[in-house]
Amino acid sequence: MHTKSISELAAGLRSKQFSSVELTKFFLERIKKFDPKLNSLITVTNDQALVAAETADKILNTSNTNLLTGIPMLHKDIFCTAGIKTSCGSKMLDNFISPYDATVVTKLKQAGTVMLGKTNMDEFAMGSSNENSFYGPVKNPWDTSCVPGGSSGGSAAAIAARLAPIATGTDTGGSTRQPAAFCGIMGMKPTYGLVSRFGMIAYASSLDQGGPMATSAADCAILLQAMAGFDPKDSTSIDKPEINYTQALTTSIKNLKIGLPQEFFNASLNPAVASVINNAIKELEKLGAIIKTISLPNSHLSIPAYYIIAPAECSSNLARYDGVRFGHRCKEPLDLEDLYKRSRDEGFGAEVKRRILIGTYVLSSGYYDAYYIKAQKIRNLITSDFTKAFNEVDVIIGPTTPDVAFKIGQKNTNPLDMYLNDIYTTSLNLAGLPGLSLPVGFVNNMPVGMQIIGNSFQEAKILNVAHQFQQITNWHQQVPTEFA
Amino acid sequence: MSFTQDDVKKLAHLARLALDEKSFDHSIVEDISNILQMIGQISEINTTDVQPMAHSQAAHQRCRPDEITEPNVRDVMQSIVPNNAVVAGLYLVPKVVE
Repeated sequence: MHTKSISELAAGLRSKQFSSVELTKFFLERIKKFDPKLNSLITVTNDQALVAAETADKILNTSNTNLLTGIPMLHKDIFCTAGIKTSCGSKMLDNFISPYDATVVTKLKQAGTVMLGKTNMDEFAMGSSNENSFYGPVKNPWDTSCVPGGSSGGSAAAIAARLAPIATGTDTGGSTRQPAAFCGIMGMKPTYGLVSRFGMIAYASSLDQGGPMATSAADCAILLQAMAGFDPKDSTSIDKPEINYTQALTTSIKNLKIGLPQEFFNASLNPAVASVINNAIKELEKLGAIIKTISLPNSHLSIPAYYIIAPAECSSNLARYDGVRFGHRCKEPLDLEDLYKRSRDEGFGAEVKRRILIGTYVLSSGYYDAYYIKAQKIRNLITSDFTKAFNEVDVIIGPTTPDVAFKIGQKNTNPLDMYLNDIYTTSLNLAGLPGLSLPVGFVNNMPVGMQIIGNSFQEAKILNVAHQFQQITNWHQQVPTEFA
Repeated sequence: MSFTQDDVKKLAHLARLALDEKSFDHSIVEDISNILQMIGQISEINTTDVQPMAHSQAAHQRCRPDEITEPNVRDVMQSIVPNNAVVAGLYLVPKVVE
């Protein structure tokens, strides 16, 4: 049951092989059995899930259904869920019961999905290993001594262990794609503006974007369909005609031009990972794709530009946590300043404080032009590289990460080491482009992710490439033995 | 650029973070110093005539019609205040004026 696709589960629900209540109980049972080994969930919503499943079963008896009706799923704990704790992985919001739903949550409720719980994550989505969660690190199902990646590490680990068929994630600098790569599943960052950010707790507003996490491109397409769309409540949401992502999956990729950026196959890349990626590219060549080397000459600037823009926006966004209206409030404040300072000091973890301090520095008087404005100009250079590349090729392919998942504790002593994990992912956020990571093999028994990058609003095209690859390979069907 | 403990203290004040004494160890000063050195790379790049990028889609701020769309949700929003620090619809904070 847990290895079935969304289409197979939907068919089972319609033919009454099983009900949504039975399906929900099945996955809740898996969570109970396996999650203690992974710590992938912060909150399990047993009771609400069963109520939602009963409702879904009633809807399934009508003609008013879609592929997601009655399908269990998980939400990253960054999405506000009315009446349910929404912690964002932080002590600051440990007591926060959201008064409303995020638009993504509303849309998925309307589609008839059944929420099983909220997934663990790096605090306020700041991290690449899930070690920055107030609720403890998530473990990688392929080797529980390794990190699952971050910040959507809980969603990635849960999907990899088949604790749910699909989950939401968010991506500010690689936070759906990097954990997807480390856990051997699919994670996608859509074009900036495609998925509503309303009710998605803000980290860096000009980079944040919610996206689907699943085991296959076909399931990602179904989930993205329900998540995407214009939202008047998000001022950066883009009003575009709807695209049918599932329909686009069957297009042949014969003569599709694929660009390989030479800068992504550099000395930072583990040669064993490079070899797995090259084998996957050969499979795409067999399907008729034309491979071409391209250059993204400013891509090395994406890490410094990202680590200026993201902390700057984070220091501004996180100013709202002042201990007054919601979240953590310190005991017996002496005065207003003490209330702010101690509430924030007690509520935030080390990495969040580090990024607030960096952001405060780059936005402070006398440094704003040298750092923030300069980084926004670099962002334009990075975007121009992609624009030029997309004049020559249809999609761009490369590794998602320089190496496979590392050991828990291995990189958390030096923040810079951790930041370099995002070397191939942050440039897409800076340019606002869509990208996905799909599993394409293993190195030392740990999954390797390949990244497919598209031009703006070309989600259908990159999902199509991934789907065509998955028609002739079975990497996406591999399940870690312990959770099989 | 080398960063000192005093620089970190000043930043922490601007960011309204208490950062108790044990946070001011060697590592936080060194970490921030190293990060600033890494991001400082961009100063060497020539960006003359390059415009700063505000939104990846070159989108404009939308205006909505001037219509009432939201109900009053004050009581709902105040139901989650920490330490019950609300009285008669007002948030309670330590005294700020004499």
